[in-house]
Amino acid sequence: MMDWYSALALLLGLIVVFMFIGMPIAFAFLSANLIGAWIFMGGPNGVIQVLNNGFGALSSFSLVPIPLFLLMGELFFRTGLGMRMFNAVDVLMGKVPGRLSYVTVVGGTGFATVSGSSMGSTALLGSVLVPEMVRRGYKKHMAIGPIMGTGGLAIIIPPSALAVLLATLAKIDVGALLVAGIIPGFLLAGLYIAMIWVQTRIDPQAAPSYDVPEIPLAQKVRIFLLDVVPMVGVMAIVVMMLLAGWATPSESAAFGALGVILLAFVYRCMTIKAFVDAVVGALKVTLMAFLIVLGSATFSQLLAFSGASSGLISWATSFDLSPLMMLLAIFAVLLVLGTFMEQISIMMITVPFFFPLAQSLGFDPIWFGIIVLLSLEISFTTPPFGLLLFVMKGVSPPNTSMGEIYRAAIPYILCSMGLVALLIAFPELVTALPNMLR
Amino acid sequence: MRLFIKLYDAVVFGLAVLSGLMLVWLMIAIIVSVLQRNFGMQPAAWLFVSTEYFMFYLTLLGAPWLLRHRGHVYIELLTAAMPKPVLNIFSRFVSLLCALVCAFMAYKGAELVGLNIERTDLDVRAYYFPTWLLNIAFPISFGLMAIEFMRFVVGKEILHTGEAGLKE
Repeated sequence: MMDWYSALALLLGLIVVFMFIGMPIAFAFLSANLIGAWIFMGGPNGVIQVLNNGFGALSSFSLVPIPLFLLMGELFFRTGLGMRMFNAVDVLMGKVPGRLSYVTVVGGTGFATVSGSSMGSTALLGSVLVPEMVRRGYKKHMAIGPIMGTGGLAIIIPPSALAVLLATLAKIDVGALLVAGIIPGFLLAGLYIAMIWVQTRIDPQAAPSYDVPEIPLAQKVRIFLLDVVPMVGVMAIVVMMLLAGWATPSESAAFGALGVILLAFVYRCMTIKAFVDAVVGALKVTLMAFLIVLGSATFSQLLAFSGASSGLISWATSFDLSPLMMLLAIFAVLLVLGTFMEQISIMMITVPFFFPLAQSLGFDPIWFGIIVLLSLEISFTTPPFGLLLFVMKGVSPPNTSMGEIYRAAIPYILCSMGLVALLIAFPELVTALPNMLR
Repeated sequence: MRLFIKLYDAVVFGLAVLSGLMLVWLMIAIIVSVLQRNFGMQPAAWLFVSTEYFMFYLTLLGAPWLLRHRGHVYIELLTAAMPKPVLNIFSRFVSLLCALVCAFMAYKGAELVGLNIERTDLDVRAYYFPTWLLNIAFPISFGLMAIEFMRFVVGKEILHTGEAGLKE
């Protein structure tokens, strides 16, 4: 029998090597798990176990909200309802310095929240908004920063597909984790808005105000009622259904998607093409994510069979560190992993260790889940290697340097870190709403 | 041969369409069962079971199509640092590795289906459902994915672009 640390090194090493040579991540996990199952689970029988685990993991009702939240988001944008809301926020903002940066935070949050993939939404928002903002005389950091920041909001404000996945993997209440993100999400949005206000105060030229056509108040109210309230209303209904305990996450996700379809019919923007495009878009992200779930379904079992989970947890707790120091260590690990892996893979690798560890440290699992989600997003945008930085570089104007992107990202990372500190100091900010569910 | 390729393409595309329809069904099934509940009826158990089974089917049946469109996320760091001629060979080697893994999974999947039939295994939820009818998705999906990866091994196009970043 292998030592736990050799087993751990073998399992993690295989995954990292396979990913590094460019194997699609689902197949990197699958290959490593096949080898691991062969070694630790009795040769050919272990491989059969990999298949059975794959079936068990995917045919789980708790994963159903993921495709449905994605479908809801895709429908929102393929039908043009999302852009309608975005434009309305733009018009309502009026002649405020840094207007487009605020619009990005408010509209971008709505976009990223429902789009399911922070890489996808960063790429799209970056390619649409950055050139427009630069044309209006904005300095690049005022354009790039808010776009990368919105990814952090998207991951915690419901409906968040990644939160559903994390809750399923960690075997915690999906609905509770979803509603737990509401208060921290709005706090983070508030911090971003404060950050933009400070930035425009320090350097008014960073985001010059420009003339926009004056719109009478009555028309503004009309735009708000017609183009903002119904769209936000659908998202609010999804959250309210969860919060009031009227529906399971799957049910609220299904009704959310239906709500968007009905809304699109009312606004006469539901076309067959928009519907098909939305289904294809949701299908692509679902397939990508679920094949990783299938490929890594055996991973936590392998860690348990080989003794790696218990070995690592007893090793980590043997240092007798305070829970706060342990949390910081977990945070550091997530930060490092985020430099070369995407979020689903990081979850697959770390959840089997971190959640039992958190339990042994006496952390509330829902609170810890929100901290993990925030850490994942921070790691994704942390210089020098955070993957979202490279996505942003890819869609920014050609003369944008990596340094400019780093400088744009840092204030928003500090906001997210500030929020993490706030949540550590006041855990009730996370636990208050889920406690209402219990 | 051309007819065979056309037929094969139609199968990959057809399974993706089926996968998309299953995704839409998830929404319909849940809404119908909630409506039944609210009208005082007992929600049909098969609606619930169908969502669980369809999650499994849709993932496996749509995966070969997604692979053809390079939709499975992968990291390009090492491959981005390679000169084009080296990348051309290395990328084909990586695809070959993936094809072998898929072929192995297809083989073991077929073996599992055989075992399920032999033992008349049943998946017990609200109904008894023959397990082989579920597990048959493994050899079909991984068999097709092995072929799709082989296209990246021997075809004109390779899997990797050679540009740094995370691809999806």
